[in-house]
Amino acid sequence: MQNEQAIGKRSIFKTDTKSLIGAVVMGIVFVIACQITGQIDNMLPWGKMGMLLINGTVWAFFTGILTLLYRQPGGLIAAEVEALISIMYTPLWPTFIFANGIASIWVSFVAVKCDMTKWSHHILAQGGVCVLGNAIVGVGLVLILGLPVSVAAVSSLITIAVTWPLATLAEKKVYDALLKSGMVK
Amino acid sequence: MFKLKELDPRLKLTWCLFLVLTALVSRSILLNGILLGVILISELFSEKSLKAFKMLSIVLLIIGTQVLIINLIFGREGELLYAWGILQIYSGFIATSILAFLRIGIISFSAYQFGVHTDPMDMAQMLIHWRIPYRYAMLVPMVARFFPVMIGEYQSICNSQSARGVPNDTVVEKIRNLPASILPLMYRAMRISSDAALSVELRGYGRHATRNFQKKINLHPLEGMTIVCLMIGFGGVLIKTIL
Repeated sequence: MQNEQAIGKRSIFKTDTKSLIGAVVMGIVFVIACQITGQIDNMLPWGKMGMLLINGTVWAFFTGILTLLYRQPGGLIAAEVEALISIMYTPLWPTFIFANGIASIWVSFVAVKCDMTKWSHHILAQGGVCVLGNAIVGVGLVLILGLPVSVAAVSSLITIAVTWPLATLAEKKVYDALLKSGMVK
Repeated sequence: MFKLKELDPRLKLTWCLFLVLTALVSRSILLNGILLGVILISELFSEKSLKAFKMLSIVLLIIGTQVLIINLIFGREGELLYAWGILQIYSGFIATSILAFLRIGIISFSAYQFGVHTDPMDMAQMLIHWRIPYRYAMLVPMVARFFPVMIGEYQSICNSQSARGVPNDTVVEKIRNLPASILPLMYRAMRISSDAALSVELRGYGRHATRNFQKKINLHPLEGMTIVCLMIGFGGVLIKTIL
């Protein structure tokens, strides 16, 4: 990769071709993972009530790990690929565009300030992803699906409470493995 | 007879945004019903059938039913119709559910129509017209190119797991098998993206500031006027809703 740019230790950007194409392809994997987990959730009692807990965990995990792997604009591209392909299976896609974008930018912001080696760094990154993302989706539940505000608020709070610890755990484990393998420098 | 595929992508995007934003802003069941009807009629005129919407309609029906049940149980608008213990049913749930159903129909169908009837290369050219470097704009056709490839890869991983005798019938088994199917897919995605990145760079991707296209998009004056009319129309809806 002759065009690959030298990446500073705390740089937020990574604009080489490998990162851009990797973000696109991993964005498609992100979509596939979200579709599978969405179907699993719909078979479970909470899924029938509109709370996609496993799906939310996978969404938060992928948003975080892809941003850490590909930085920006790769993280944003992967997140927006998921948001735009979600047109095919959910009417909440306009909220996903904002939720995925803001969540990815938040992870980049945390990754610039912290070196992502401690649990607290991942807790902070995933906290922002889950709270901001689910808050925006909660607005979508009210505006698009016309759900009562109390129902949307309870649904979002339960989703945050479940997805935050699970996604943090998954992100820390996978990120440590990626560091060990040399894929993240 | 007009074909949606032949229209300029900027007009189609403006039409899609007009529908989505109008559906979000307006609380009129009549207006939302008309907009949904216009989407279906335009699809019928262009493609002679509504086959493209078949799968999405089933998904929307399931979501619409969930919305109806939640509004029936938790909705507190209108007059009290029935009460039994903690269960209270108010009259407003019908109007709220109809509006929500029309809204999700417009938002989903309009975006789907834009996605299905717009060539990814046209979308890339549209982004280039908006001064986005072609290295980024060309990622749209890449999504369209790699989506079926990755679906095929995922199916081959599932087939491999089945051949090994991994059970995948119950919900618990599906959850347990999730890392076993997603992690190999991630590994394959990284391998494919590395190969693809090397291939495109060896062919000079990103070497020059511009790029040629076989078919160029051109905005017809009539299409430009339609875009302006749609913007004015949305402005009118916005003002009417605020006042």
